[in-house]
Amino acid sequence: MNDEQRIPDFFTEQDALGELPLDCDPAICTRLETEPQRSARLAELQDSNRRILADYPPEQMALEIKNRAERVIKKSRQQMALRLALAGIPAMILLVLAAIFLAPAIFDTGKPEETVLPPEITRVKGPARLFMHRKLATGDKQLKSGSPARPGDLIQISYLAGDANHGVIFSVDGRGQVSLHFPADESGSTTLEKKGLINLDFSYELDDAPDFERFFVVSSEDPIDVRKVLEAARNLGTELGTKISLPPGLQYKEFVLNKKQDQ
Amino acid sequence: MFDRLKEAGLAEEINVEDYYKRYGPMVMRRCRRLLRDEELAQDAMQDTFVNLLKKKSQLKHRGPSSLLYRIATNVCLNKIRSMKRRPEDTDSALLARIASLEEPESPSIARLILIKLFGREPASTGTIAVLHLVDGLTLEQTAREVGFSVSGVRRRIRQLRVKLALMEGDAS
Repeated sequence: MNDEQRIPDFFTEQDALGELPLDCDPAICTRLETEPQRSARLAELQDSNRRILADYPPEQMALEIKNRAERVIKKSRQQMALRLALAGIPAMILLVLAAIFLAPAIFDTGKPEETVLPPEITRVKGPARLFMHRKLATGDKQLKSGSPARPGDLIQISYLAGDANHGVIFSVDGRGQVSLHFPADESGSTTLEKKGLINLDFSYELDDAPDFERFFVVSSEDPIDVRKVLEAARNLGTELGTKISLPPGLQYKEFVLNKKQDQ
Repeated sequence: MFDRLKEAGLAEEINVEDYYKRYGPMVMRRCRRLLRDEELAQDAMQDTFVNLLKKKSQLKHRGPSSLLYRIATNVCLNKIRSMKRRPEDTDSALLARIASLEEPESPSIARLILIKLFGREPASTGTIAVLHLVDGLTLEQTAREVGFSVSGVRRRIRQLRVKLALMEGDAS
């Protein structure tokens, strides 16, 4: 599917609009800038723009879009009013009270946990270690290893490098499926940042795999062969508590989230 | 005029006409490519801008073209889901199967709260699948675009492929 010869329309459109992101994939940006047909392609898009704007004039379209948006808002308010009316006033009062007092519980029905974020640690000794936060209405909530979690929870993974210079972060779910979180792919650099608590630049959404999600950070003073680590991870199986068998010189720390399936 | 839009805080920061002039053609081309029907594409294009008005808080996080492209993809998937006609080519058939695997998004309170909480709406698996399987973005490019990890995108694609395979099994 990923044809090397063809640049996806998504990027050519962004190029024409001058909105290629600053962190644009160099493989794409370089090709876009150097391809011989670039000016012809841009001219073609400009020509298409003119035709579309002539066929669908901006003034008329803007009016229709605004009218449509008004109808959508009106309809959604009517539907909301109808739902509330059907539920009845007592239920409405209960709903409001529940929203005010129980909002956090809507997002997290697990046991209460400490909401204190980890202290600003600039230097710790030993191997790299993991921290997890769940994104909640009330902000990020720190999780402890063993905390309950649900499918759909968004988890922020963070690490402290400690004495380690290199690390690999991955997780293994209850089906034995391995997901690599750091580096982004098997050939990426394993160099850890050492400026305190480092957040991975994405949130990880838990899926519906059963029982648990085991997160591991494997660390070392020297660069790590990610493939070998993942190979060891795939041998972990689906039992909680099994030890990972790593090449010499590597240390690891584990962090477990216990999965609760929605009823 | 448009009191409800202003009341809802939707129209004051977005000049719809200016946005349409700049991005309308791109959105229209996107909708034409996915829907292969001029009338439906125009309808989807307008729906895309209506959705942009609702999601304007996300504009500060990413460029409008990127956000509009994803909204248009999702709007088109919803339309494909409700289409009755048979797909005419391979891409259309794949889109139809991707669309059929997901429920249409409902504007539920919970969903709106989640969007508010996380600052941007999580991309649907359908949108991810279209970017990767139909548009040809690599896993890394798709992940960067939707703000997921590469492994997260890979996992969703893997799950979707399994569902597609099962669907084909059922159909045969």
